[in-house]
Amino acid sequence: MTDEAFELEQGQRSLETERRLARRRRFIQQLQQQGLVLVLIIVVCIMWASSPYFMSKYNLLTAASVVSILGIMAVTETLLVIAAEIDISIGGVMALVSVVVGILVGRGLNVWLASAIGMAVAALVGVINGVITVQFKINSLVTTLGTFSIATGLAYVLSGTTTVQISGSGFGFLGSGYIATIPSTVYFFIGIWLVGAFIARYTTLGRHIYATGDNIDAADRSGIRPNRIRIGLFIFNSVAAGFAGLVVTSELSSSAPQLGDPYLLAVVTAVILGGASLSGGRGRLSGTLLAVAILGVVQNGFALLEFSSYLQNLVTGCLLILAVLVDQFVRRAER
Amino acid sequence: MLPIVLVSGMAVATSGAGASIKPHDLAHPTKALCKAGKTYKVGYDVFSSSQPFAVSVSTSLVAAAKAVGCATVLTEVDNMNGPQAIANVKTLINEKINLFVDFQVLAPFQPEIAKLLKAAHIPAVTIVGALLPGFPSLGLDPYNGEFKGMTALAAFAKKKYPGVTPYFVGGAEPESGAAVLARYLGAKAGFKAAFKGVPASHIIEVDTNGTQSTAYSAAKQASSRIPAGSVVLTMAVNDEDTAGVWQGVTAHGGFKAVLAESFGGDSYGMSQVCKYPKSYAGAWDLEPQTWGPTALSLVMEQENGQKVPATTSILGVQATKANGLAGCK
Repeated sequence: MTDEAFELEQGQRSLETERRLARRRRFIQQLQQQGLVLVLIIVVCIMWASSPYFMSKYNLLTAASVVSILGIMAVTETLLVIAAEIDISIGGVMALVSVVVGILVGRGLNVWLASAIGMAVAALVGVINGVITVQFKINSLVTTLGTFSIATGLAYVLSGTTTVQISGSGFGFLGSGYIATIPSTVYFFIGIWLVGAFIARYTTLGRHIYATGDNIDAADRSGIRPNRIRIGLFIFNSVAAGFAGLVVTSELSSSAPQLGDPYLLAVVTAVILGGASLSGGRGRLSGTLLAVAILGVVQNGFALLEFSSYLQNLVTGCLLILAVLVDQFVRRAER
Repeated sequence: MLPIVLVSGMAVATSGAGASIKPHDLAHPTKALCKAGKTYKVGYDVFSSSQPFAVSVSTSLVAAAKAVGCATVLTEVDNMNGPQAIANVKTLINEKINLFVDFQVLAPFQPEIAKLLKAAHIPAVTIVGALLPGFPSLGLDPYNGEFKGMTALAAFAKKKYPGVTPYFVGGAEPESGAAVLARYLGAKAGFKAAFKGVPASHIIEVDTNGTQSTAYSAAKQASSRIPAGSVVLTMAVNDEDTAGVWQGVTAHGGFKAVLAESFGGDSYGMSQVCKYPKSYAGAWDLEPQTWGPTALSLVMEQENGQKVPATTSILGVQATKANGLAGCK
């Protein structure tokens, strides 16, 4: 056999291996997705059997409105995790935006202008997260743990730990409005999810995000600008957290430094449970949507059944560990 | 049994033996507490210099010392840092304080503080938060406070909707321990007492996890259990959680009325009372401005050789827009 024929045969084998791996990867992703649908059906059935109030249209809309807030953040966090980064500063950003808006409104500023300034503050936190992580090559978990602490601390210092009322023309609509009997928060979540899913699936940017998370060096060599993409995603994620902070502030008609506390665990769980891999390069927003729905059903069921938040945290923690184990298993199976 | 003094606004009740002080004077210390020629240097460690309740207690303590004339207050802030609190106490002892008021709230660090004070023979009182072993304490009467708050809310509801048996959505915070849980239990007992024979399904407990946003979400979702057109009463373990529960039930929608009684009486609770007088019966005001003077009375009386009760409980008063105590403009 000549050298050329040998190389050709090797190349064909390698191509065949690649195709086989791609087929296996697609199969596993479909399996994951179907698994999530199955889990959703099971939890719905359990809650339906446990509470006669669960399966009413009104209750399901209420559950959707509550879970949409974590859904808004889960969309952008998923894109960030696909790019092999993570942002755990979201609770701090929510609190800081809420407090900044509260202070500015208290000093007589228009609530919408104050909200715009709050969003700018959120974007600034995103810039800080991105630049420190990317330019100084710091693990994003550490960077965002630091900015979480700074943002939360600032929120407490600026507010003097107090909760203050906020009101303004139309501000209440953000968190408590309805359009055609559907809560406004659901529209926000679906809107952000559609944008995120479109970017991830149909755009060059989406392909670049996956490539960045899959192999950052290869992405860099092939002309993608992974650093710019990662910084952009950090900003996008902080802005989403800031927006979620605004929505909660609007729901409560109040700004408070404790406002972001309950969200981090649920958001990260939704992302990982949805199938995004912590090692990057893999994940689907359809999976995130299903995971958000599962968490919504669990949260709603627990509230209806008067279970304590301890138990809810326990279940969320179990789901997170389970999701990480599945991720590990999937990565091994793909090799 | 430990002697207990209840301070409720101007009204005072005492129980237990050995309370030789005149309890009604506790919240209003006078120059009569000063022994001739003696000066009282009061050390004071507080967990926060900005938290509204703590600020109110601190301000009233300093003002009471000034009014008495013979006492001065040396304040240290620990920012909820236990080792810092211990260091603060050591500093104050070095500054030759002869009395101490403790408003450190982390229980694991209290025994060490108590040991330092005992070694230095300094009389003290703790504002709970957390008990200071071997020293008298001053704090809220959680069960009876919420019971009375709920009684006021029930009266408000009965006046507006006579003959109606309402639902009660109560915000509990079991993770914060027995004292905070007692607040919810007091409200629940108050509801049952006000509406005799009310079915158990009319009482819905939500876990607020200590944040207004969780209180909102949990209450909004749990409200699906309440039939449309019902009257719903809401109360929780503090002003912010109460607002969250009330807002959550209101946001769920479909009810004839959603009424609330705030608990604590901080600036936020009072602002809710003032802004929503048709929904808020009032705020059960724990009167933090009386806690500082009461603490001063308790330490000065110890220094003067008087016996003080082991527990002094503040019961609170009902503050409404109408009675002026909510301070609405």
